[in-house]
Amino acid sequence: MNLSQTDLFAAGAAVVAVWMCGLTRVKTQLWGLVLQAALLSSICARLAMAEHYNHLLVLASAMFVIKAVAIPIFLGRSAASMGITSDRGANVHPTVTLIIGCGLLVIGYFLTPHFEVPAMLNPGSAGMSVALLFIGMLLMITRRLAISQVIGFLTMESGISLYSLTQTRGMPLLLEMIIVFEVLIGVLIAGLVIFRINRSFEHIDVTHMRGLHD
Amino acid sequence: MVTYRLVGWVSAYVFRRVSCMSVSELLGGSGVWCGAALLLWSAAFLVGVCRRRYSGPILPTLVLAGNVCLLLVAFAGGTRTVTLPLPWFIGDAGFTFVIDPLSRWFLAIIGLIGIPVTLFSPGYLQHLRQRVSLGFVWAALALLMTSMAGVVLSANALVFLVAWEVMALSSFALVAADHEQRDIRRAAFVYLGATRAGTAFLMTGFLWVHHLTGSWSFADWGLSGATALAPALLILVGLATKAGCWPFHLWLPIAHPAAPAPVSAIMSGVMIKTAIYAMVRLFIVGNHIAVPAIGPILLILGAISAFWGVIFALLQHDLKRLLAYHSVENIGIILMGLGVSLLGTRYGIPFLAQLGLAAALFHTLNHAVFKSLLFLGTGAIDARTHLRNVEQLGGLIRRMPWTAAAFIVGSASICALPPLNGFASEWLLYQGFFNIARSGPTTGARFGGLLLMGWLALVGALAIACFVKAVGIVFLGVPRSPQAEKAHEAGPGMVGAQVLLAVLCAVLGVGATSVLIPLGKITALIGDSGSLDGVWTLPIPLLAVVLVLTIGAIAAWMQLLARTRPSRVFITWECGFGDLGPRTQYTASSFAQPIARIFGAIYGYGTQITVDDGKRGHFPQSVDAETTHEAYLETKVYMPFLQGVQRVASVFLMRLQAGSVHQYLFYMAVVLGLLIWVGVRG
Repeated sequence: MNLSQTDLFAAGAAVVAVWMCGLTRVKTQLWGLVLQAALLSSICARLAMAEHYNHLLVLASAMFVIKAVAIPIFLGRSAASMGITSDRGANVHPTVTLIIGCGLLVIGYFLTPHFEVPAMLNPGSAGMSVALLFIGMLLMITRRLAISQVIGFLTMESGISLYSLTQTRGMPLLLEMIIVFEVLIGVLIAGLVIFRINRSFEHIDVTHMRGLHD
Repeated sequence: MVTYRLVGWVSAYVFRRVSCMSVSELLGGSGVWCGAALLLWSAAFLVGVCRRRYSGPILPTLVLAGNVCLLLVAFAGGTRTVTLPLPWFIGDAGFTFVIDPLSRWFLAIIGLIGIPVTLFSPGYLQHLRQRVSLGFVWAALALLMTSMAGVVLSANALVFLVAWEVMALSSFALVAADHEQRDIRRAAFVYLGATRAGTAFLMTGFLWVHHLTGSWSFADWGLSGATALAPALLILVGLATKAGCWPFHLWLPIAHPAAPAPVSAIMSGVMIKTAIYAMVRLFIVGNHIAVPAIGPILLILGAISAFWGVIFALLQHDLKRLLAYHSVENIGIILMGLGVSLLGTRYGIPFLAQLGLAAALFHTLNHAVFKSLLFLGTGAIDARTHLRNVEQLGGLIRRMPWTAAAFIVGSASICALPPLNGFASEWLLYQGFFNIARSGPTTGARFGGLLLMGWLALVGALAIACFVKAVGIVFLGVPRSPQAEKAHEAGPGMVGAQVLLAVLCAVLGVGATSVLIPLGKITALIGDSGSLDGVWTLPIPLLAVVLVLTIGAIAAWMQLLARTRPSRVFITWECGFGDLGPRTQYTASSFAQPIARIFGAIYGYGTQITVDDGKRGHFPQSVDAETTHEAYLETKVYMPFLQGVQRVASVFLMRLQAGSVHQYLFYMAVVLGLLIWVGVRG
């Protein structure tokens, strides 16, 4: 098996996501996000240097500043202001989630090379990005607090941007930047909404929102 | 102020966009006038939405001007296709419109009915002012007119569907305009449900045809053979639902009475006809979906609708409901015309195909005219008496003479009495049946032609009975309620609109030969031009003169008789009851009873008579008579089906949609997994 440096970093991001499945402390999960984003932006930077795409360097730094610094700090602050420290999971215990996450990683890895995609450039990274997508979904389904849903969503988003980075050799810079900023805006809005949910219900536990259904 | 600025911005934007298009594409009339109508109606829509309480003259003027523009398009010549420039795009089809003789015919119908309806509405809406926001009604009306024009102009399926849905939604909003009443809310939901179901069929059919032909453009939808059958039937069901053809007519007698009268006039007169347009466009003219089975299906459904509509209309006491059932009847007659046309193609007799199409299209126009006239008349009565139940009206011919005169003209035309327009188109249809009876290829077909002639005559006779009832009970005799007694003639706008339509009834009937000229242009799309020239065998103007002279002669003769014999004035013998009040008059129920008994088995007709204190023999305390009937199609077919759907929904859907965020996320995960699985399988 020949693993390129890109594949190695992608695998690292996926493994971090799996690790996040087993965590309960919100702060540690945010560190997981930081790691993921850092790995992603270094993939971006590496691609930029290997292929001499200077615009990817801009993207890499934007990704790092927004996804590895700004968003985790914002989420950490709002969690602290609401007095949230941990999320013990909704239906499935975090340990079980961890095991399912491992399964998804394997599935993603073996499944993806069978995709009918024209010119798959990097099957290894593609597998990792699909695994990230699945694990993000898993995180969203199995967590109790609204803020964990945002974390799960960001993991999914990492999967998508990893796929686009490694499979298309970069979309136009403008598009990529727009996506990165949109994620930032999305998280800001989600943070606001979560803050309001907390103020209205005095908790952000989505399992309790069943009662809103008449 | 904001409103006017908004209108200014939008018109400036549209103008800029339109002026970007190449001049040759647009100039030459039609396109410009279409654009003008669109602009006027959009302006009316914006003003109406922003000023919900507005009741001044600007909105009616804008809507009216839009209709005039539409008429100008309809009467301009030539065939052209207009594609809007790039930003106007849906999916993989452009915003393409086609103006040809067929779409112009329907544009003319929209404009011709739109003008009197717009004249009528300001006066009528006054009595609803407390409950309905007028600006909103005008906005929805403008949207409805725009979307109807969009439906008949669209050249591809996607534009068609967008216009079709806007039409459904805006008419739903209009039906629900007076939504503080529970019945009206229910009616609006029934209508919404019916139109959704219809669109679902239509959309499936369109997707299927797109799959078969690889194009959204109607011009490319030439299909034939066994593969075309299923999509054709799906499209037919979707269109039949909108047209209100049996057995999909369920919504029609519920929604039409609920809407304000001008809206009923537009919906019954014009909106349901867009489905007829689509049938002609898709199944008959140009590059069409040729399925031999459609012809007989349309003929049979049309025959059943015509009969079904009229026998149910006989039983109705609500004037608008009665008229709504008559719409079912007339849609049936139109569909029979389309069926004759398709049979003509199938038998290889192009003249028959042209004759059927001409009959159907002519009747579409005629029905639009007289049905909107009758609905407006009902609206005028409603506005003045707040009554629609015929049993409470009476004697209105003295109180509302103009309305009565117009209503009688409308009734005579819907009963197909010469020389009015209803007769003109049914005469063409009779000729179609006669042609089948004479030159049909098989004995069965010839016999069927004869049978259909008798069937149409039966329907016509029943319609006459029904309108004798309606006119006799509503306008003759003495008032049956204080409201009817206090009624007075409607305002000038309302009367003017009715008179305009009544004159149109007469003009279209007497001048039927000139109407055949534009009809000939449409029928030339499916065969030789000019073959309809000899079809007009009846000298209608001459007959009209003879009729007038005969009536005059009879009247003169009666005068003469009266003069030679002295007249004596006596009181009427009241059979010893001592009361000759309104209650001793003939009622609508008793008028309809003998006929209703004949067809009693179809709707479980029954009479219940309860006699109070029967021991007193011929002098009981009171006698109550009540008639009952049941629409089996509703109670035995649709209701059980709907209840079944509801049961499934309460068991299954409630669990599926339980309000848990995690559950919803899980659905997304499952869908994602499925998509990836599909992707892997290739």
